[in-house]
Amino acid sequence: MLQLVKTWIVARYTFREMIKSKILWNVVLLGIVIAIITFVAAEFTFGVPHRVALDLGLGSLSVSSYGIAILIGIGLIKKEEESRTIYLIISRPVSRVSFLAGKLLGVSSFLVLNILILSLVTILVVKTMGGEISSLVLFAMLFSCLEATLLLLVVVLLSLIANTAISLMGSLLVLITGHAIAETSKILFVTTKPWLKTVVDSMNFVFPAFHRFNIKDYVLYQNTIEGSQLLMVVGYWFAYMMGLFFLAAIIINKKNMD
Amino acid sequence: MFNLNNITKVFKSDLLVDPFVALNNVSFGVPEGAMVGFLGANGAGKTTSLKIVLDFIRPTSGEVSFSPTLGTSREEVRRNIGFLPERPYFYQHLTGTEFACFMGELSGLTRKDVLAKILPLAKRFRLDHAINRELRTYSKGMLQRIGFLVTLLHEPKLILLDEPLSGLDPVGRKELKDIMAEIKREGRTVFFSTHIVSDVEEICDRVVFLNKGELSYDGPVKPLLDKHMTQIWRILIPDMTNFSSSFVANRRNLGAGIEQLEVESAHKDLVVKQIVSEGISIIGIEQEKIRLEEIFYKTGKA
Repeated sequence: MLQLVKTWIVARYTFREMIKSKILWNVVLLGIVIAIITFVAAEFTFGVPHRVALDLGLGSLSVSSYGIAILIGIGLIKKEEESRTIYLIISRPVSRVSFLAGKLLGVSSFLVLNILILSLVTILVVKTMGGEISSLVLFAMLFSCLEATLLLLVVVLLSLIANTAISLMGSLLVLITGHAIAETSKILFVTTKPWLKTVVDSMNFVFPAFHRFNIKDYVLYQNTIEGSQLLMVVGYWFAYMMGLFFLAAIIINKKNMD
Repeated sequence: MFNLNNITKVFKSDLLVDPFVALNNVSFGVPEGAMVGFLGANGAGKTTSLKIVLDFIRPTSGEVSFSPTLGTSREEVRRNIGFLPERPYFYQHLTGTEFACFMGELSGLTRKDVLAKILPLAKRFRLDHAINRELRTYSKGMLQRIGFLVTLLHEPKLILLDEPLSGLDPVGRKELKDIMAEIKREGRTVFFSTHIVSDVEEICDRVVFLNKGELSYDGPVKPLLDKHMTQIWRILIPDMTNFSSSFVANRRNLGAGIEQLEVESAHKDLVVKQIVSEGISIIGIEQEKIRLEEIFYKTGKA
């Protein structure tokens, strides 16, 4: 219980430090740029400008959250070691796992804030263009939050075991593979070779299936999705997060902080 | 307050590189209420030892034990320790007050407690004018002082400092040394690493000396100085005299009309009698003192 309080304290001050940094202003600036680009792009579209606005908005909040998760996640623990602030914290009655959980929670809150700001901009632009916001759009935004936090945990886990360059490349690899894996298993070259199909399918269990969080197609073209499918994505996110966090907790506990 | 028992730490960074022995069977203890200086040249293993004490890294062999005064559980022990790492860079966008609240709350204080304590402490550390400014606007000395401030905030019984005086100007060093002396007077235990011997000689009552990962000395400062006290006496007389004695081992003109005669302790009284009998006025007489620095760095060992 006490360690949960410590986690909350670390999270609160991590979040506070981040909102006072320039990143938040960059997010706001990005929101303005997206709004302008959307208005310009809509001028060249016939019939469905609000759909273009929605597509651009959802895309930008995904990309910006990938950027923040990777760039912040890579230095989340390493920078604390280099600046020696981690020693100030873990020399107090704070466990390493609480420290890690607090840092992750703090950055995740910032990722949610980023997505919230860009979502509001998107909703505002879509509404201005006469479009409707269905509940599925809100799910797409929620799934962006889940995807970003999962990516953050992947990046932090990699940064605990590898140097900055390797963790950066590894994170990008995991992100791209996690998105491409579903489509890859469907292409003819793979389906005609059973051994390759087995390899690709088994990678589904190793890499986080980021493609599951992408419901833009449903939002833009089908406007409907099974409730159970949404629940399954949330369940998958929870299980994968728990697994990765467990692994990260073991590593940080064993790690020499030198 | 704590003991290092037969600590050995071997680093092996690469398969192709030979293992590096940072600490070799090091054992020493820090008694309660003492101000202990932890001496050694750069790379002697001081920071590694501190990291082992605080469980940031694990020793290859040996163990660290804490006195029950600090507590019985790990959490309790941590609550009673204040640690300041060497040249930390803190959180740039937090203000001094926010940073103090962060560290205080982690040590079990409430925000209200911290806010009540922060101003008197900030005044003591001459930071009251900047306590609500972001830390990125602080100078190096101010960062060191805020680091010291948050180390003392929760009133720890044991204070561990890694090179607390490095990078400070003479005024800053003097101020921090005064505060350290004050903390000691309050009955708290201070253990600090440094490679500046004069700091230890000035404020510590005990010293632990590491030399290339091995313990060279662990004990009080004064007996160590007494042990190395030389048997040479210096007698100062006016330089216009033609005084000569076969017992004078060495003589030197110090300028300003003063000549220094060096004589062995056994001959001191005899030479003084000779000087007085020749009607020469003695300006001064003192036993040659050896500094801790000379003991460590001239002999390499204590």
